[in-house]
Amino acid sequence: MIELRNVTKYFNQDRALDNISLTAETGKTTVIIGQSGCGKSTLLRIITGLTKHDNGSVKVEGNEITDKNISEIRRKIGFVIQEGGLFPHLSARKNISLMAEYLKWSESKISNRIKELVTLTKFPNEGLTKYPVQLSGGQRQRVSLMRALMLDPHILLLDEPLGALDPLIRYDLQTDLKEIFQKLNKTVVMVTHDLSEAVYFGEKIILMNNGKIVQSGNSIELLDKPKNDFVEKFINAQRSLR
Amino acid sequence: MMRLVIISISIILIANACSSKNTNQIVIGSKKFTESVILGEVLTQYMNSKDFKAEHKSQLGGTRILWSALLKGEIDIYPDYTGTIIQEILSNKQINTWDELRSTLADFNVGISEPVGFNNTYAIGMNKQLASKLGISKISDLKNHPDLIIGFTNEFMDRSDGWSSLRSAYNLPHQNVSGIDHDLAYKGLAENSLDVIDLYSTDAEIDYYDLAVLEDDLNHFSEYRAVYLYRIDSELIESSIDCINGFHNEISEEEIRGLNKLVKIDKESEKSAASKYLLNKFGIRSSFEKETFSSRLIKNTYDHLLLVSVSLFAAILISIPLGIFSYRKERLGKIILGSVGVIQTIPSLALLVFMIPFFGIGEVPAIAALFLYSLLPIVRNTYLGFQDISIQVRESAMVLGLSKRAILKKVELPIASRSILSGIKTSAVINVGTATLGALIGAGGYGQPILTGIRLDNISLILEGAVPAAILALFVQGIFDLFEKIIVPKGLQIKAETS
Ligand SMILES: Nc1ncnc2c1ncn2[C@@H]1O[C@H](COP(=O)(O)OP(=O)(O)OP(=O)(O)O)[C@@H](O)[C@H]1O
Ligand SMILES: [Mg+2]
Repeated sequence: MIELRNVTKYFNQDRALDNISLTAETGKTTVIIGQSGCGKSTLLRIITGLTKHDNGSVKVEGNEITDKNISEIRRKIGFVIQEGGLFPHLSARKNISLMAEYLKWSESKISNRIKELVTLTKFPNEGLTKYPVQLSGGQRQRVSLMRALMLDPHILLLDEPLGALDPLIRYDLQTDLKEIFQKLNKTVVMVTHDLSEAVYFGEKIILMNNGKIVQSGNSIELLDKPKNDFVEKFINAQRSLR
Repeated sequence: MMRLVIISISIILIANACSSKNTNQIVIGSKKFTESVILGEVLTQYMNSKDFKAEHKSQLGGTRILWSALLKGEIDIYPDYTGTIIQEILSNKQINTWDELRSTLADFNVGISEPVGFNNTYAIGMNKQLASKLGISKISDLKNHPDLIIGFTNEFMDRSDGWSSLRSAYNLPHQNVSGIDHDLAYKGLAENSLDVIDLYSTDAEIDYYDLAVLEDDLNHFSEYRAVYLYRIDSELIESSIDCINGFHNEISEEEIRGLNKLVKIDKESEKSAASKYLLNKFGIRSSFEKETFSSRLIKNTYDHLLLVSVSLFAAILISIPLGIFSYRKERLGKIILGSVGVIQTIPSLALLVFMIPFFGIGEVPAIAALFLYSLLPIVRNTYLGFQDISIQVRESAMVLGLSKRAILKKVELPIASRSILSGIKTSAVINVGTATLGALIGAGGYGQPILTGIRLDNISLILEGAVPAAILALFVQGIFDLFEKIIVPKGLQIKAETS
């Protein structure tokens, strides 16, 4: 479980997050949606300690994050970032196993785990020896996902994991991801700016605007009972795009 | 691996340092012009024939370098001229008599031998033909020809009895005066790019180039009697005083001009010229090691590689951490990058000379200068290599939970390796070229034959240094291209292929 209470974040004078409180339940998928620049990535970065919040409290599995426990907490979190961020100098396999090697896992434990992940993410086996530049966008995101899942974290954070993909591949990966989330039963927080994707994944959807939470709840609540004009406009704009 | 290399290099260095300064070895230095080398060589062979163990470190540089090397005890004896000593070394002292000279030098723990005989005074020379055409026979005649192009040695430009005092003594109007190397000056005269040069009255070239020596009609130049300066704080030198004074009034102006000609015009080595002189004059059969082409090449290669490898390794060791630090601490980094940049702008020759007060002469100051010179490319490329790593990659590594150290080792250094390596390659190639200047301060290397070649106007000697230096630079480049294939991670090389 992840709990944020009254979290505020300034970049210089600009307020990127304004008094955010939210809970991501264990075993559920929470989707954060909103326009570009509304603070979605900043939120995930605060949960992983990449960015420090100015006010409020951030608890991961009951523990307030601090400089001291951040490495420990990071190992409980798998993070798939916006542009993948794969290590360009390492093969897909090494990208996935880097952290396990650092923790001195045995070679057989590592191979077994990679076998599981390859099956889970439907990644082609021969792709493991390739380097990031030699993989397609969809394959890269699958490697990124495997890397995030390697240590079997309780929590999975995904920042627009499907953002840069073309529609067909995106559709495939959506289906696969949903299957994976259901199978793993992890606490998932996913960021997107696509409403249909949010509805597809989200057991809980949080709509943000300008660093604030505008409305949160399940998809039916959001679609049928928009809280204010902004929510209605956002929904209509997204529908008209289809 | 790295540690092993460092240890072995330090052992070589220490071994080298020990072998070059044996306790009962007398080290004789000489300046980088033929006459000085001959005087150094004559005394060296003479001492060796008298059962001393003397070693000649030839063509170390100019007066300042030799004098400070003598004070530091890096050499024990070197030949100089009374005029130079009085005007240049002791220019702030009042010296009028031989005794005053002797006692002033003693204050520095330096002794002076009896004069060797000849007086090698400064003189002003020009082409005989041109001189008679313009009707110039005395220095004061120059006054009427302000358009003459003058090339004076850098030393002469700086000396207290040099150009500026000559100009005021004779009231000379010339504007076209440039500093130039002595040996190049003769060539300039022969090719008519220069009209007037300074020369020494014992120069072999005077006859060879058919020059007119202008009369010093105002008696401006003082005496330059050749003497040996030596350290007086050593028992060993004390015991060899008879040797040092062995040439009292023995070498006449004619004789030294002949010896100069033997070397400069007839292309004999100083060693063989000195040996001939000792045989003719004293009947001494002195033995000297004949240098063959290959033995010289091996020695120069060894010296050159020593200079390049030690300075480069030290630079790598310091620069990579410095580059990383500059990346991490933005503000301090700017200062660091700025300072190593400034070092790079110091002319290499000047940097070499700056090192002498700290490290004396020989390999050590040359290595120190080359080290400083090698810093910038490596520091800057390390910095740039780190800067180029994308924020996503860095944050991915952090979020995985890797420690800072692990991120450095497993992610940052491998990704930056290509840039760092190319910085090292740049340094290495520059280093190979710059190290040729090391010969000017007695560090040996490929610069040695180049230096001698320029002095003796001997193209094949120049090539003997220049060609291997060029080959070494290409070789170093090749080695680093190979390193790149091995060290830079494969994933990054693929990218370079497709882009
Ligand atoms: N390091 C930073 N320094 C200054 N401002 C920042 C920084 N990171 C983010 N911001 C600002 O904070 C706001 C929120 O940024 P954030 O990246 O969280 O948006 P986002 O919702 O993820 O947008 P997108 O959908 O385009 O990824 C933006 O206005 C952005 O300009
Ligand atoms: Mg974002």
